Amino acid sequence: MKIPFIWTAIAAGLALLPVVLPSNYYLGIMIFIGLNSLAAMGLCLLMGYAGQISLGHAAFFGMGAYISGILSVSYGFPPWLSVIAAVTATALLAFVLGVPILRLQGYYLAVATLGLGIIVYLVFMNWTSLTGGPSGLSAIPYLALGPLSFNRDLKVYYLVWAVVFLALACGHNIVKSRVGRALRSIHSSEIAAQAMGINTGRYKVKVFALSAAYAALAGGLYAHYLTFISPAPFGFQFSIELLVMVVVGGIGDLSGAILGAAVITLLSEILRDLMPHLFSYGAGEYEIVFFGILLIVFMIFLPGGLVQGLDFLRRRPRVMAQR
Amino acid sequence: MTLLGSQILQYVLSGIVVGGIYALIAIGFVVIFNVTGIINFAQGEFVMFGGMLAVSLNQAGFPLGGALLAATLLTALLGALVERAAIKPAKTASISTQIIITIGASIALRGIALMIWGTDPYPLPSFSDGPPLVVAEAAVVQQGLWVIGVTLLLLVGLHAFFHRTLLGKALRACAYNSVGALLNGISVSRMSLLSFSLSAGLSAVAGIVISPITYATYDMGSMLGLKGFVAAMVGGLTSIQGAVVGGLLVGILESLGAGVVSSGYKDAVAFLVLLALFFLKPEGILGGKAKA
Amino acid sequence: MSLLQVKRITKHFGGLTALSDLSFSVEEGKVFGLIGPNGAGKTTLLNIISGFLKATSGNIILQGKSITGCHPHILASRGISRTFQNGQIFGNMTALENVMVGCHIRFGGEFLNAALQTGWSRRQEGEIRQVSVEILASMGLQAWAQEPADSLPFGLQRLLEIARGVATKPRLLLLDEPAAGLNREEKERLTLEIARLRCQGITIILVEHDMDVVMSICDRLVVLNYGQKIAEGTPEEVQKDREVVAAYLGDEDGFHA
Repeated sequence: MKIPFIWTAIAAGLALLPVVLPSNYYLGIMIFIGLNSLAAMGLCLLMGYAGQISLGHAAFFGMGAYISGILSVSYGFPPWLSVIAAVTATALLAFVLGVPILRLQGYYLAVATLGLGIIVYLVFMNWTSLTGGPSGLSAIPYLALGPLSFNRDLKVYYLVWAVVFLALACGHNIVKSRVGRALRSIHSSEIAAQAMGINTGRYKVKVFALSAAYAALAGGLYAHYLTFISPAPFGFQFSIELLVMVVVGGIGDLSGAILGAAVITLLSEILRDLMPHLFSYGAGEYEIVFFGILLIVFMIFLPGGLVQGLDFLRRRPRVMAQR
Repeated sequence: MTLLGSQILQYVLSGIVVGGIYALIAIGFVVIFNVTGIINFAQGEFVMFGGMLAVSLNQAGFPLGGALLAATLLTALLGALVERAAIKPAKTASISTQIIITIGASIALRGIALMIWGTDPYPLPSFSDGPPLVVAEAAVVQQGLWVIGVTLLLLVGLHAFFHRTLLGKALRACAYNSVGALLNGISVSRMSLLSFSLSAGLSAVAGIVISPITYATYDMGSMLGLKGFVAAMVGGLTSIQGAVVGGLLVGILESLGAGVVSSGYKDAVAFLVLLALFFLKPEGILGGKAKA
Repeated sequence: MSLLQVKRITKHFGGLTALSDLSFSVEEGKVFGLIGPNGAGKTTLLNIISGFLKATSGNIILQGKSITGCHPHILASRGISRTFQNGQIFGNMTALENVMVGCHIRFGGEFLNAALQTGWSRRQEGEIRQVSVEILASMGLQAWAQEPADSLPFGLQRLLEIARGVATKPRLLLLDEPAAGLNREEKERLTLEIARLRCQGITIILVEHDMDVVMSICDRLVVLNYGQKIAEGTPEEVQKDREVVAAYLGDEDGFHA
């Protein structure tokens, strides 16, 4: 497979980045960008390619985190095995739930996935014996491969970004393949796809499961990085943030999901620092105002997201030259 | 009456009060959907703005009645603003796009409320003081009676509006056949604006009447809005009567579920009802057709 | 022998009878025309044959086996493909990719194979591409291969939709008003393409209003009116049929032939 120069450059840049980063704080942000990228890529496969909306994707992120955390804390699974088990279990559950849910379309699908997200969140909150309830689950072990323990931000950074690039490569291969074309055909015209012999129902459920697996993988890595999880980050708000990342980055492009995750994660960090100085009230997620406005502005003026915007800027000189 | 019996009656009565609120919000969804074909995910924020504005105006010295009226009108204005800023520019876009845009409007409005009011809950005085009404060992607070009364009053008013006034008839014509309406000189764009105002105003009333019971907070809207949406869907999404039935059903089931099963899962009840309906009748609910 | 038999198909929509007790059979390797005034039930019948609608009663039999009530994607793998009256090309893909989607059922490779880019899946991809390029070229569309499908001129979009259907390697291809909206030149090209497909052994059911196209290409015709068969025969026979002429009188499409 040919790898475009730009990706080699980005990978090299990311590999060298820790050298120049002033502190662990920034490394932590980079790790979160990577985790969010994974989940956003999953959502992008579902929304951008297959054209099926999900407003409950945080639930799958949370399930990856909780299943992996519970297996390793309460059942003594080695962390890498618990992550794999969590991803598999989440994908299977998404597959089973997807069968009835993905028969729905449009608003009905939106509200069903949203409801699913809220129900899963409430399970995290209320199944105290298993999840620890609102106070969460702590003392989750670090990931380890033989003697190598991912107990430092630096090691986790490299791990997470290696996974991101692997996931990007897999996703890219899928969307360029027969399967990817089938998904895009469903997006464009479900009846025509069926007339071409594509089992649209089955493909939608499979891509839903795949997209849940991406989110669950991010969740599993998250749990073993922070070693503590609580329900709060896996609510409706995060589902919407994932949606914002996909939309801002470029809904029809997998690499856009990474760009979107980077922009939105950085933006919320900056705004979180900045906003308390501007407003007298102590706590609060003021950045949601900007996310909301970004969603509206992008959908109206740049529905192809930043990736399309960059592409346009890159091509413009040539267009000008042709005139 | 047995203890269990009176408890269940209590849950049902509380459910009816909350259900009245859901019904009002659901009607807001139905009005917009019928005229524009859009589900407005920002509906809940109108509920919140109604409640918050009423509190603020009241605290600023307005008499209660004046504050309520002003809050409703201001929210209706906000509805019009949202329609012009976010809905109109994308009226030909795909359903996914419209969903995302109204979600964007929703979180932007919630963020603005957060900036104005912060995270504290604000109390609104009850509309009347007095002992709760007791029905066979179950009690309804006076404000609960106001909720039911206001809901009924608005239903009567809406019926008169849609069937007696020219504007209401024009809205119905638009809902029935927008091209036909256009040919008869009705401006579909103005009707869309009007539907958002009307719907925002209705939701504001819901937020105002519930605030003395639950307090008003910047984030009260999202859950109320979603449940109103569920109620609207249960009722078939296009009928006001259906929305009222759906609202009461969701309210009562939720109250029973929270009381009898577990209060932690209270918010899940509405969605479980909805998912169950979807699975049993994937083609639509109460005659409503699941269209793309 | 007959490839497809339509046996006593009836379809009700609520109180409305769209098709009533309709029977005919389609010979293999022929172009079979389905004509009739607007609302006669032609598209409804195509939707039933291709599995998009369920008949209220009756049977559809393909090569001696009942296919009544099968899903469209199953029918595609059994050899029935179709185009749509309102045009359903995949506008978000290139012309070539449209045809490649048409090849979907003839090749394999699911998520895992695709993700890992196994040698087998790469060979499959190569074959899909080659077959699709050939089909596109045979329709004279090779110059448009890399263009977004929705940027093609309308007439070529129609041809592309047929090419995509052909890519499924159908025994039976259902064409729903392929000539609608085409100019004269485009209609001639379409007629030639349909004749060429017949030469390849593809049986075609053609729903069409344009009588020039119908009369010049169809081997046999069934005429529907209000959901009932009012005539069947060769184009010449049907043209002389009184009832047919009566059904068409006052119909703006007229009987030009």
